[in-house]
Amino acid sequence: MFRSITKSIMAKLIIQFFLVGIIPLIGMGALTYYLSKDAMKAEVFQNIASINTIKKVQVIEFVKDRMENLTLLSRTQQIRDMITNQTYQEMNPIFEYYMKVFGYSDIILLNESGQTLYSAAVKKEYDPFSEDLTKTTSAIKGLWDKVISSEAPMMTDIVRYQKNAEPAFFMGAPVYADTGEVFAVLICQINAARISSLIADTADKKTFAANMIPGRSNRETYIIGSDSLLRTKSARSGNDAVLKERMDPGTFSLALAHISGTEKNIDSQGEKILSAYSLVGLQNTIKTDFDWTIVTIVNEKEAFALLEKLKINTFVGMGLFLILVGIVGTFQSRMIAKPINELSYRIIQLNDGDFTAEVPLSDPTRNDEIGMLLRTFNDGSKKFRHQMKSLLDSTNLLIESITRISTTASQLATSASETSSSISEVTTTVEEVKQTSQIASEKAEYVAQSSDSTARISNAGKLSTENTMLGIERIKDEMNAIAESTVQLSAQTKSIEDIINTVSDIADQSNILSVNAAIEAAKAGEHGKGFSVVAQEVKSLSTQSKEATNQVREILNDIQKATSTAVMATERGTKTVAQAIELSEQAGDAIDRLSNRVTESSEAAMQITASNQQQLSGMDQLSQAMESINDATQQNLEGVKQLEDAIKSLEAMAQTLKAITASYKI
Amino acid sequence: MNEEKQAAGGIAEKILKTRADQLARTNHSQKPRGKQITVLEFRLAHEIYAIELTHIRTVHPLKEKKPTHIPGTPGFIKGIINLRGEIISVVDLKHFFNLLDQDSGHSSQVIILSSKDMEFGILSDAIHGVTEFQTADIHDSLPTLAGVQLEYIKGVTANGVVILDDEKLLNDKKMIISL
Repeated sequence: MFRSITKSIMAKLIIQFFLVGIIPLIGMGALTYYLSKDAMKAEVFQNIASINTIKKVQVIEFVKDRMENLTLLSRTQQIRDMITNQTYQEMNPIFEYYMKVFGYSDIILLNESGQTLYSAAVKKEYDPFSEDLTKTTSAIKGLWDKVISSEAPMMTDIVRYQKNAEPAFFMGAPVYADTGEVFAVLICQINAARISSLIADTADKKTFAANMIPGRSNRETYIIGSDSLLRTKSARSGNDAVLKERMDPGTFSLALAHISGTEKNIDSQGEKILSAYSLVGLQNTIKTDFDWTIVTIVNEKEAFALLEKLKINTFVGMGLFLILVGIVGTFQSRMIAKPINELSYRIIQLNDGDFTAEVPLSDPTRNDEIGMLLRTFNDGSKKFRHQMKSLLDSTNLLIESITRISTTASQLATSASETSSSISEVTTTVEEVKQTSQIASEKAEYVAQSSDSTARISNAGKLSTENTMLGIERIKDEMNAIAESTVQLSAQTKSIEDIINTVSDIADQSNILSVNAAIEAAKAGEHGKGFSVVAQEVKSLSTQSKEATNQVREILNDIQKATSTAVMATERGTKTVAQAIELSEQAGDAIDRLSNRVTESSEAAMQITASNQQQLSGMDQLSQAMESINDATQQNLEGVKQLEDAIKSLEAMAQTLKAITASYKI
Repeated sequence: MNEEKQAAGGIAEKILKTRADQLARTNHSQKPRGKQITVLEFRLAHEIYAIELTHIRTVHPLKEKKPTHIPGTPGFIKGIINLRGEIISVVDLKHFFNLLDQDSGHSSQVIILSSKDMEFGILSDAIHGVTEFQTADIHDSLPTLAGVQLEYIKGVTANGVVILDDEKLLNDKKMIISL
């Protein structure tokens, strides 16, 4: 498939390129060729016409010149003398000179009766009477007749005067005697080959200009007579054709009617030729009784050789151009067709569901429409791929979602039935709540009553608290009295301490006194022995009293400590009493607040009762609402069933979608 | 109740017995051994010293009256006192003996030492009383003692009472200060 597409689009493009290349080429070539051909034809015709004219003039000049020379010779004294004296041999060098210079083949002298007197070519004196002129040639005889009768120089047509002789023509001029009468005729023979060579182009062939003339190499000019026979040589016919070959009389009869012209025809060998023709005009110039037609021909093929060359060159050029066109066309076609083929292949792939296709960009910077097309295709394909992918993903997601929805729907159905049963339960519960609220109403009334009694009790509590506060105040006073007493006690112990110090001092002094007494006793010696004992006793007493004071002081210290403790205890007691007062005040406040709260709760209980009434009516409404909810739930159940059906069909659709998307290759 | 009464009775009995023990005096002078000396015990800082009664004139309580300090005297001379119209210089033995805790307690009594040439008072922290010792009981001074103290010590009793040499103190040239 891919091959055939390549072929077709490539081939089409290449053919189009070919056609676009070849049509103007052929047209131009053909136009050029035919225009050139026409121009060339005109040129060739013009050329040969002019050549024809030139040759004609040359031939006339040639003939006239020979005729005049012959006339001049005939009128010389030497000729007359020669004839008179019959000294032919003496004249021979002059004849030979003439023959050489003017190209005469022979100079013949005839007498007035038509007998041959002398022939320069054979250097023979003829017996004028023995030789019959008629025997020699009718052409000379005819000429002689004409000259004699007209007494003017005359000329014959080109003839074969003898068998196997070269074609030649003769000119005759009258030789006048001194008396003024014609007594001889001088005839010269000129070979037809002279004219042939005169009009031949051989000499021109070497020149440069000759080569420039189209068809020059093949061009030839010849003369034909009124009998349509060749008078000069023709390359086409060979030497033997002179006076034998008959040219197309139809054409040249026009020339005989003094019409010159050009035409295209076919020669004896069947080749196409171009020809120009005209009447030489001998009758007008030298009064002959005949005339020639001069014809210049050229081979058409040869003449148009350059054209042919041009044609070939044009064809070769065209061929080259076509090859070039082919190459460029192929290249261009490839440039255009290849991406299109790729693109088409990708599009086929796309059509088959393969979205991975991406056209390889041989030239990513290509900015023309094809480049843009490819890039756009790639971008589009990419986008499409992405979209397909997302579509696939979405499909998968959709299936998952549907599954989930399906599950949810089942759950919903279950929930709906559960809800239905729950609603029944709720309805029952509402009934129960109704009953409960009735009970609550009763309870609230009870609470109101009991809160009233609580309020009374709290008032009693308040009174008791006030009494307690009074008692505590009394305790406070007592505590203050105790504190004062303790302080007094503390002061009294101080005075006791002073007394004790005094006693201690006395003890100390009595101790020293006892020591001094002992010293004195020692000084007294034996007499002081008794006194020494007394001093000892005094010392013992002072020691005892010291110890006693010490004990008293210790006891006193204990008392002081105890009183300090008592003072601190009373202080603490005072503080505690203050706290007790505060606490009892707080208790009073608390009882107050309690009383207030009880009142509030009593009011609240009343409100609860009222609310319960409202609740009861609300419960009735709720019951009705539950009934309607139950109806709605039934409808829900039905709806869920329908939803399940819908989900099933949706699932089937999603599966189909998945199957479709799965067939794409991404 | 009976038990409590009995316990209280037990305690009272115990107290009475302790007191009796405290009051009971042991008779030291029952068995005299050799020569007997009579000394006055007194306390200096934490140690108990004793001086023979031979040169003691009297003991005088200082009470609140502190000795009047005399400028330009060495540190061991505390000052002077007025003893019944008589001016007597007072020496602080604690300072003199370089005893520790020189200023602890208040020296409440002054022991007046006198000989025919010399008379001065010694500060004592407390007077213990007059006691008699057997000379046999007095040991020589401890070999560990050294310095100023050693010169003025006669000996040490078994009870650890240091007996000072009153003669040496009275005749010591250091005590005589010339201004």
